[in-house]
Amino acid sequence: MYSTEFDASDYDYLNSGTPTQPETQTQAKTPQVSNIERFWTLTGNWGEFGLYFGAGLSASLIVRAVPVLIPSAVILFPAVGLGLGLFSLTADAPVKLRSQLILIAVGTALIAGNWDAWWAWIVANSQLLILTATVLVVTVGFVVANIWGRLTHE
Amino acid sequence: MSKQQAIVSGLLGLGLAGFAAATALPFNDQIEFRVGKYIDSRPAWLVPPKAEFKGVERGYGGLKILLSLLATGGMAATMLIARSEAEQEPIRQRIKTYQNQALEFDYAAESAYLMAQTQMRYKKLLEADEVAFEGEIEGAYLESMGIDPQQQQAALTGTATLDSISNPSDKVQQATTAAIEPKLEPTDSPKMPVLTWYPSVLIYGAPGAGKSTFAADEIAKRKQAGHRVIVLDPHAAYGAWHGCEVIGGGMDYTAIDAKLAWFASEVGKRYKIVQTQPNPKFQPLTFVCDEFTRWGSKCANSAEFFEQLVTDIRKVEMFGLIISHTRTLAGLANAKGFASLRDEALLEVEILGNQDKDSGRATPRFEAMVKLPGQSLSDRTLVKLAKHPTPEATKSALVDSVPSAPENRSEFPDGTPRNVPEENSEHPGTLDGIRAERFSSMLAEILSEASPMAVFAAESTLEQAEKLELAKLVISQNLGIEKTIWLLWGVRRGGRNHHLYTEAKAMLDRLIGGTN
Repeated sequence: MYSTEFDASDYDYLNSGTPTQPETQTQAKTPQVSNIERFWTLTGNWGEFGLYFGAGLSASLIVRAVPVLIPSAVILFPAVGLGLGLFSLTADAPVKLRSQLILIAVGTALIAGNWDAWWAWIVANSQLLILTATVLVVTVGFVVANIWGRLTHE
Repeated sequence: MSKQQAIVSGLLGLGLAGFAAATALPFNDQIEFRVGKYIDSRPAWLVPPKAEFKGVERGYGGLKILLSLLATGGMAATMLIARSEAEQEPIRQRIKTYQNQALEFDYAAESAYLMAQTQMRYKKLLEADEVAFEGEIEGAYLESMGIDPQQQQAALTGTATLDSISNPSDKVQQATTAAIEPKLEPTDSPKMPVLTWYPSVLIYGAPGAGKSTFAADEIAKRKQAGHRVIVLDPHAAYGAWHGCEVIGGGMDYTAIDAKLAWFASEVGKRYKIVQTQPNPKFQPLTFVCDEFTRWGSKCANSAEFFEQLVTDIRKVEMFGLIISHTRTLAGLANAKGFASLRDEALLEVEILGNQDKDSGRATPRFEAMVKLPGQSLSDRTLVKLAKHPTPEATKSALVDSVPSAPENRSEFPDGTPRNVPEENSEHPGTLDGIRAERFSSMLAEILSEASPMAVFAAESTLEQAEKLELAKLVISQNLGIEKTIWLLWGVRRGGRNHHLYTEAKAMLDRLIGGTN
């Protein structure tokens, strides 16, 4: 660009509303979050996850301890999981996040609470299931990493 | 880390450990078996049919449930505490910010208070220093004048003015004492130098301070020393400057200007004689220039005259006595350019005056500041002047400080206004024929009680010497004490003013003692 082509109308500092240079203008500051606030958020989120996980774990263990509950649990747990999954698709951000958190926590709790049963079942039935279980572990790892990221997010 | 943080961290750790344990431990009892060399443990329903039974491994289902429940509780507690703390933390930090701000404000306020206190202390110290410094300067100045600073302070701050000294009814004890007992001048106080042979002397001061009186005294001395005295006075009153050749009365500045020209020619003549004759003898000639302040605009020869006064006249026995209101060049015939000559050649006498608190008019203070030629103004010397330099007053020196009448004048009709032309008080003459007639008429008036006021009345316009002369004339009539006191002071025996009568009687005794 040549100087003759330069249009200075956009740089009329003398008639500008704010006589200060743009670089010296104060920028809107993001609210400062202290480390202690980050600590309470982190522990609160992990505590909530632990609450859901522990609830699922306790429920699954109790169902195992009382075999008569197994038919009910087999129906109820998938039904609740399905309903919560559908709800999480339609809910708004905070509730959606919380319902997803519950789904993941309870799902992992069901796996963790019955891992020996799952393992025995795999051993007893098919080697193919081992591959399936591997895929499942990778998936669960991914999901856990995702959950970790969300939980540790401010 | 705070206590709450430690608790939450502990609960979280225990919860995770609880979950780990609840997850890792086997839930059901397992059967340990061996197939050939292969040994394993499985749930009962997974044990192969051909396996050899080896034993039973107990499951931890109950413990797992317990741990899971405990860990869940721990996690719930962790969540609740953390959420609660997360809500309170911003408030806590805001409070802390406010506390910091309050502390800062407190520090700032305390700092400002301390600064103000320090400034105040310094200000007081500074003021004290200034006062002390001014006191030292004043004391040093007064000491350089030969005056005791303590005495000077009393004279300045007290009410011992001329009025109070001449008025015994003044309530100030100091004034009454001074009025009754003659004040002795300190023997070591500076004295007025002999001015008779100084070529040029400047007498200046406020109107009414006594310049003309002082000049009259000086003229008398010069006449005694053989001077021919010519007085140039545009305000000359009839009979004033007794025994002198007076020029310019009635504001005749033309005559004054002509005489100034004559003066210049006389200087020239004398210098010609000096040039032609060995050791010539001249009659000393003193030119007295009264009211010199305005000559600059009225007399064309005044500037040249002033120049001659300060330069040419010393060797030809000619002398100048200038009376002015000021020592500025504008007040000295507008003699611009002669400031250094004035400072180096003139002997300056500033006649000091007081201001009468009732009338506001200047009255003599009988003090003068003397500046010798070449001396700086700050080195001037304060000298006391004789209160009655005229011969008449000298004769009456014994009753020099006799006070005038007490203040109570209710028994007299209202007197005439006391304002008299100022020049009258500055031109005391001698008891010549005219004055003798005047005294006779005043005496007759007093004896007939037709006078509006007593002789020593405060409102009387007579000078002290005249009052004393009249008093002596009244006393010589032998009218009796009460009558004499009535005529002289205007008070009678008895009544509420008896104390004034007593004072007046004491003064009469002193007067009689003095006249005898």
